[in-house]
Amino acid sequence: MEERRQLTRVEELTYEVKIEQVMTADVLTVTPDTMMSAAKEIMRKHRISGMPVLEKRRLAGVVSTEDIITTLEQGVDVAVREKIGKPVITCFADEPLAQAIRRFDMYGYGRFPVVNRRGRLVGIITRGDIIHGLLRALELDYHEEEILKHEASYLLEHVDSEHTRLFLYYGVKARDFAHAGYAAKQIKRALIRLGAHPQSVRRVTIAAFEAETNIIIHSNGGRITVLIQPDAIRVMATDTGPGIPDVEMAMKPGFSTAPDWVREMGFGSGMGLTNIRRCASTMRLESIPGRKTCLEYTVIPEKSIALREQLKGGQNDFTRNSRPIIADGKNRAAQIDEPD
Amino acid sequence: MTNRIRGGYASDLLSHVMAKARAGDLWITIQSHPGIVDIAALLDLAGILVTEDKQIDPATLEKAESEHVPILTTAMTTFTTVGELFRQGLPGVDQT
Repeated sequence: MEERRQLTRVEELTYEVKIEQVMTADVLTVTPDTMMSAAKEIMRKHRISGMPVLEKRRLAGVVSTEDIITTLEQGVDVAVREKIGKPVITCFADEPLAQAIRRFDMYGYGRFPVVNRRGRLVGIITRGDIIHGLLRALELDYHEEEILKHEASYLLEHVDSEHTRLFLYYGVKARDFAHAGYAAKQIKRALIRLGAHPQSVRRVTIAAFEAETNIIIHSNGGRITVLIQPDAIRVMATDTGPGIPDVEMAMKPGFSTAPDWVREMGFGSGMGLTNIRRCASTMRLESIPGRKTCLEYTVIPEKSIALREQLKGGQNDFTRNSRPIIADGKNRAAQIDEPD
Repeated sequence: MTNRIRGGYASDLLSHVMAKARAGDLWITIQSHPGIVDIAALLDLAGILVTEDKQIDPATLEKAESEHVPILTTAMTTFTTVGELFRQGLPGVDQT
């Protein structure tokens, strides 16, 4: 079943991909006056099996290894002109790959010169070019599918309304270490169910965990609310005091006022707010000493736009010598991991 | 216990784990309170490896059971444990 589906896709691709996208554009040519021995040397040096013959920029024929062999057999070096009696079969650059495949089946040649609509030589195509081009197209297909799979711009988009907002509420008790991470966990589950991108889920969750443990460690208790919209996730963590005397100082990485027994558990390393800032698209921390602290952050859901654009932009170029257009896993990870 | 381990991360400071450990990592720590399970679950870690034969709270085990987070223990110190895993080819987050 799987094999059949793939074959069909390859067939489809032979109509989608154009000859100019897979052909070799830098063509080595000879003239009718070139000696066969010289042609042989060029082909040997460049490891190719045939070359177009150009006479005053006009395509006059093709010389192949087969011609070289017959020349050698006869033992007399002759000009290429003597060997190109056969009619030249060409392909148009803007034709689909399927046309080239059909010609290979019909004529049994190893290569066809590729010309533009004005008859000017623009490249050469071999069976190898076709296989290589189709493999690249398939690979691109596969990568696109992978991206779509991870694409989660569909956050809440299965809900039809002019304006969709979902509001979540979690109470957080002071010093309740047994439930540290409870709200973060619920938020994570909700976002996954709502179709958020895994990276967005991760960013919101890590920051929520830090906000939650801050309330548990430092405050008299508070709450976490989450406002989910298709284009933004906003988290508000508020408590009822005692407040932060120096917000700027609190933001410094490693600065902590947590008591030793809390630190012994691994909490209170002073990296919480730093983590939140790293995960959030925007962040705001306000505190009224003696009354309350309010932390608010938003995460803009990932859409992998950059990568998709990259794939689209590269689609016109499957040629061998071109820069690889498919981002490897590492590049993609870098792109998504670094929200800033 | 069929989780695939992608790499390793070691720290006893929870915020550092939150910041650095990736999904599929094995977390090596000396912490054993129930909070470590929450962190492993939040980050989709492959599991937690508690070092120095530290006694695991029953509450931690209970939570690990319900959250499906494997907890392993070893008599080795964190240093030796990490060294051994590294020698066996487990990469760190800063290597991949």
